[in-house]
Amino acid sequence: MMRNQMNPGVRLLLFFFAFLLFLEWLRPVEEITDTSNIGFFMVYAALLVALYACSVSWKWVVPVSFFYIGVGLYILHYHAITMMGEEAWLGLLFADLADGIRDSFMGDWGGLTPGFRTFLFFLVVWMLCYLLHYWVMVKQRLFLFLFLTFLYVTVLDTFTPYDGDGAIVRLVICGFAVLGALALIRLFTQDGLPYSARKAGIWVSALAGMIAISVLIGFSAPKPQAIWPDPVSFIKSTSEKYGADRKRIGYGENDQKLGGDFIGDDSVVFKAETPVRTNWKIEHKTLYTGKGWENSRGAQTAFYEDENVRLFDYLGERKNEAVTAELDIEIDHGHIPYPDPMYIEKIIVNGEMYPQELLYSETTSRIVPLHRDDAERDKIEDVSITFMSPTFYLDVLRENKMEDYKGLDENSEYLQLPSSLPSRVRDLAYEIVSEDAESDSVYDQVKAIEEYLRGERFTYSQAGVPYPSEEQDYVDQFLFETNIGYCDNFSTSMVVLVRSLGIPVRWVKGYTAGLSMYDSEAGGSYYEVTNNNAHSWPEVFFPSTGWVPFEPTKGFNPEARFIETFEQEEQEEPESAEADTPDQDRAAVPERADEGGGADNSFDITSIVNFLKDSWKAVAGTVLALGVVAAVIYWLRGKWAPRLWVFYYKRSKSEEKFVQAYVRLLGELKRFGIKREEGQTLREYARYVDQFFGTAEMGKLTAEYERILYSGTSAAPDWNEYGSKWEKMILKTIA
Amino acid sequence: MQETTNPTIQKIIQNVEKVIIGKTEVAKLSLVALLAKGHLLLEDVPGVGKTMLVKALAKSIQADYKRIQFTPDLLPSDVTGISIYNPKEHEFEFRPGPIMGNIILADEINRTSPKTQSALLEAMEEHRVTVDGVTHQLDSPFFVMATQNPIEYEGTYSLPEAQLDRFLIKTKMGYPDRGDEIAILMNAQMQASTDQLKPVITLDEMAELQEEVQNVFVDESIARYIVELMAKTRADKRVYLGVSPRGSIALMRASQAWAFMHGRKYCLPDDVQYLAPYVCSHRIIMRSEALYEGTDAQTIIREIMAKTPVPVQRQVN
Repeated sequence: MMRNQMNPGVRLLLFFFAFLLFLEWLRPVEEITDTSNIGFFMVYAALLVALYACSVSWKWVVPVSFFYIGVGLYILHYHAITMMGEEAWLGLLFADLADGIRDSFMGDWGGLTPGFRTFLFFLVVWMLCYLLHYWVMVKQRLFLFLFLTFLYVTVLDTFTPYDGDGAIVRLVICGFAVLGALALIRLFTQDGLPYSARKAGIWVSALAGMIAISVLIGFSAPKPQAIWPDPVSFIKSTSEKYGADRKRIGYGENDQKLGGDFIGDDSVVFKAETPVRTNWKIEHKTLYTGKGWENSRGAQTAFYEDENVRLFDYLGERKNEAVTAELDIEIDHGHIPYPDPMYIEKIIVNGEMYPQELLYSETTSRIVPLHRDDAERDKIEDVSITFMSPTFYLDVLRENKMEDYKGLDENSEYLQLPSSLPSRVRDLAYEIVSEDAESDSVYDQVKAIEEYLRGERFTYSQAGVPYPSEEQDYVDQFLFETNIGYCDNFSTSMVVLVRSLGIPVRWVKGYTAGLSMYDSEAGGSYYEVTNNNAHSWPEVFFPSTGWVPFEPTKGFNPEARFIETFEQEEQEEPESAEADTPDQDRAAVPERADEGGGADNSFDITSIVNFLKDSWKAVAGTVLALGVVAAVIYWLRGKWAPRLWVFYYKRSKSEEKFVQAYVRLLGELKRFGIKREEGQTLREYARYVDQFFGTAEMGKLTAEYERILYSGTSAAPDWNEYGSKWEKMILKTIA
Repeated sequence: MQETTNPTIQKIIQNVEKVIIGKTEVAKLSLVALLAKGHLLLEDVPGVGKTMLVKALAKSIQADYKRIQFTPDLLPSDVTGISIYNPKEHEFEFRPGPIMGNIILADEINRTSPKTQSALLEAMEEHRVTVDGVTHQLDSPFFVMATQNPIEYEGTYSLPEAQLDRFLIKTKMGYPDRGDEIAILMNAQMQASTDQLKPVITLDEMAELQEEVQNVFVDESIARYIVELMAKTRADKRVYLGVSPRGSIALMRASQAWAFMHGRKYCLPDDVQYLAPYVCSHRIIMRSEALYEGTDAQTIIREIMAKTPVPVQRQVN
C-alpha cells in the first residue's frame, strides 16, 4: 500500500488542506441552519483530522473521539441541566441516547432531544473525517471531494443567504494545492518517478506559482454583475405571484429594500374605461430609509359612509369637466386605484345598490373599502370614479418661492432624509439647481432636477440593477455609481434630491395609464393595466396649488397637463376639441408603461453601444474567460468525448448511424494519437489499431465499414452486432 | 499478402503449389491476369520455374498449353500459323501456329525481331490472327505468359512501350529462397511433375469466373482514387511518360480480379494499392536522370500512393 511510502511532511500538508476544504462544509451550517456553537465541531474535526494524519491507531482514535463527544455534549447541553438538578449528567445522556435511538427507529423525528441531535452531528463529522482519511491515504484522490465542495458552496451561495465569495477563493487555493500535491505523490509512488527533493521542490514552487498567478488574475479580472436576477428573490417572487405580496414584480406594498432587477409580468390588474388618459395612484410614502421606503407613521384616516368622498390633492381651477372612469378590477389588492393627481368627486364600489363604506388614509393616500373584522371582505370588482383630470398652470406654479414654505411645519415629514445620506447627494442637488434652473422659483428648481434625471447620464433598464450593498445608500448608488435603473431609482432619487433643497415632496406608487385596447363587443376602447404598468413617481407640494406629480423616469410621459398660463388656456378654448382629447395624440406615441415599462422593451442600439463602451473590459474579460474555459474543456475532450459519443450513438436512430459512428471512431483514434497516414488504407490502419490495443474489433468494424463504403449497397448493418464492438473501441480512446 | 478466400481460386492455387514451391505470389498474379483477361510479363532469368508454372496453371484449368520459344530467326508465321497449299484438295489449308491455344508461354520474347513480337502482341490484344486475309478467332480463354530477359542482356530487342502496355501485369519470379530451393530438390527426387496434376476446373468454368470478375463492383470513390494515382504518375517530374488511360483500366480490372479472388464482390483501396506496382511499373518511362539516381518506377508508384489520400468517407456532393 502507498501509505507507507508517503512522505510524512507531504501527508500532513495534504491533511491540512483537506481539513480546510472540510471547514468550508461546516462554515455555512451556522448561518443557514439553527445550529450554533459550530466552533465545537470545527475543533472536533481538527482533532480527528490530526489523529488520522498522524496515523494514530483506531484503538486510540475511538476513545479520544468519544471522550470529546462526551465533553462537548456536557458543555453544550447537560452542564446547565445538572447545575439545577442533582441528577448525574451521564445518566441523562444515556437516557437521551436510548430515547433517541428508539425515536429514530420509530421515525419520530420531532421527538429527538437536542442532546441526541448534537450527538448525531458529531457522528456525521466523524464519518466525514474518516472519509477524508480514506480519500487522502488510500485512494489518493480528492477531486471528487473538491468538486462536491464547490457544488455545495455554489448551491448555498445561490439559493441561500450564505455569501460564498470568500469560500470560493479559499476553495480555489486549497483545491489547487491539494490536487497538485496528490498528483506529485502519485508521480512518485505509482508512476515510479524516483524521489528527489529537487523534483519535489520544483513541483511545489511551480504549483505555488500557478496558484498565486490564478488568484492574482482572479482578483484583478473585471467582475461584472450577475446578469440574471438573484434566484432567491426570483424564486420567492414567482412563488408569491399567486400569494399576497409581490416584490419587484408588478405592484408590491413592501418597499423597504429597493433594488434588484425588475421582472416583467403581464397579468392584467384592472381594465379602465375612461375618457381621459391618466396615471393611476394607489398610495404615497414619505419615509426614506436609505434602502427604501417605509409607511408613514400615524394613521389619520377619514371614513366615508357613501360614495361622495370629495377628495382633492390640489386646488383645481375647475376648468375641466368632471368625468367618470369605470374600472373592472381583475386582481384585488384590497385598495382602490384612482386617477392621479387626486381630484375625486365620487367613488362607487361594486355598484350603487349597496354603498360601500370607504376609508381614506391621509398618511398614505390609500383608499380602501371598510370591512368589519368579523365579516369577510367583499371582493372589489367594479369601481366607478368620478374625477377631474388635472391641468396645472405654469405661471401659478412659478409664483412659489422658497419663502412660501416657511411656516408649513406640518410638512416636515415630506422633508425627511436619513442621516446616513451621503453629503454628495445634497451637493449634487444644489449643483443641478445652480447650473440648470431657469429661475429661483420652486417649480423651475424641481423641473431642473427632473430634467437632470431624464438626461443623457442615466439609462433606463429593468435588468442589471444591483441591490445597494450593506453600507450603501440606494439613491447614492444610482446617482453616482450605477446610473442604471427603473422607475423606483428615478423617482426615489428625485424625491431625495428635491428634499435636499428643502422642498416638500412625497413618493407615489401606482400604475401608468396602461395599454389602450379596443373592445369590439362593447364598441369602445379601454385601458388595460397590467403588473408591468406598476410605476412610481414623486409629487411635489406647491403652496399655491397643492400636490403636483412629476415624471423623472426616462422614457415615460407625464400624464398631467401643464399649461403656460391661465389666459393661454382661454385662448385655446376654441380649439379645445383637440386639447380635450389628448388620448388620441398620445395613442400615437408608443405605450410606455413603467415598472415593467415598455420603455425598455424597444430595441435600442445606442444603449448597447453605451453598454459596450462602459464595460468593454468586463465584456472582454468574460469572453476571454469563456474562451479559456472552452479551450480547457476542448483540451480535456479525451476524457469525456468518447462517453458522450457512446451515449449519443446508443440513442441515434439514424440510418447512417454505423457509418457516422465509425467515422467518429476514426476521429477519436486520431485524437488519441493513432494517426492514419494519408495513403494508408482503412484495413492497414485497423490492423495497426488492433495490434496497438490488442483487440480484434477494429478489423471487424472496418470490414463492415468497407463493405458499406465500397460495395455500393446501402444496407445498414445490425447495430446490435457492431454496437458493442464500436463501443469497446471508442472507449479505448479515453486518454 | 492477403489470404485468398474464394474457394475455387484457392483450389487452383493449391494445385499449382504442388509443383511450384514458394511462388504463391506469382501464381496469384498469374491468376489475376488470367481472370482479368489480361496477360502476364515475367522478367526473369532462365530456370526459375516459369514453364512449370504455366504448365501447372494450364493443367489446373484443363487448358490447352503451348510454348513458343522466341529466337532471333523466328518469323511471324511461326507464331500465327501458315496457309499451305494442299495438292489433294487444290486449295490452301491453314495450319494453326502455336498461338492457337489457351495458355501460351512466350519464352524470351525480347530475343526475337520486332516484327515477330508485334505479331504476338497483336494477337494478344485482338484475340484473333489474320493469315492471308482470313481471320482466325483465338480460343477463349486466351492467356499469354511472356518472359523476357533482363534488358541488359546482350542480343535482345527490347519491347516498345506501346506493346508493353498490352501486358496487364509485369512481375518477376526471382530465385527461390534456400528453404524453398531445398524443398524443390526434395520434390524433384519424388519426381513430382505437372503430369500428375489433376484439373480443378474446366475451361468453361474458367470463362464463367472471368465473367464474374467483370461484375465485381468498383465504387466511384475507388475509380476516382485510381485516376488520381495515375494522373500523379503523369505529373511526376522524374517520369518521362506516365501511365496511359489503358493503364488505369488495367489497374481497375486487375483490382476486380484481386477482389474476386479474395471473396469480395467489391474493390477496396487495398486491392488497388497492392496491384498498382505490378500493373504500372512497365507502363512508366523514367527520365534518365532519375534512372541514374537509382529510382525505379515501383518506388515512384509507392511514393505516390503514400501521398495520395485514400477515400475513406462517402463523398458528400
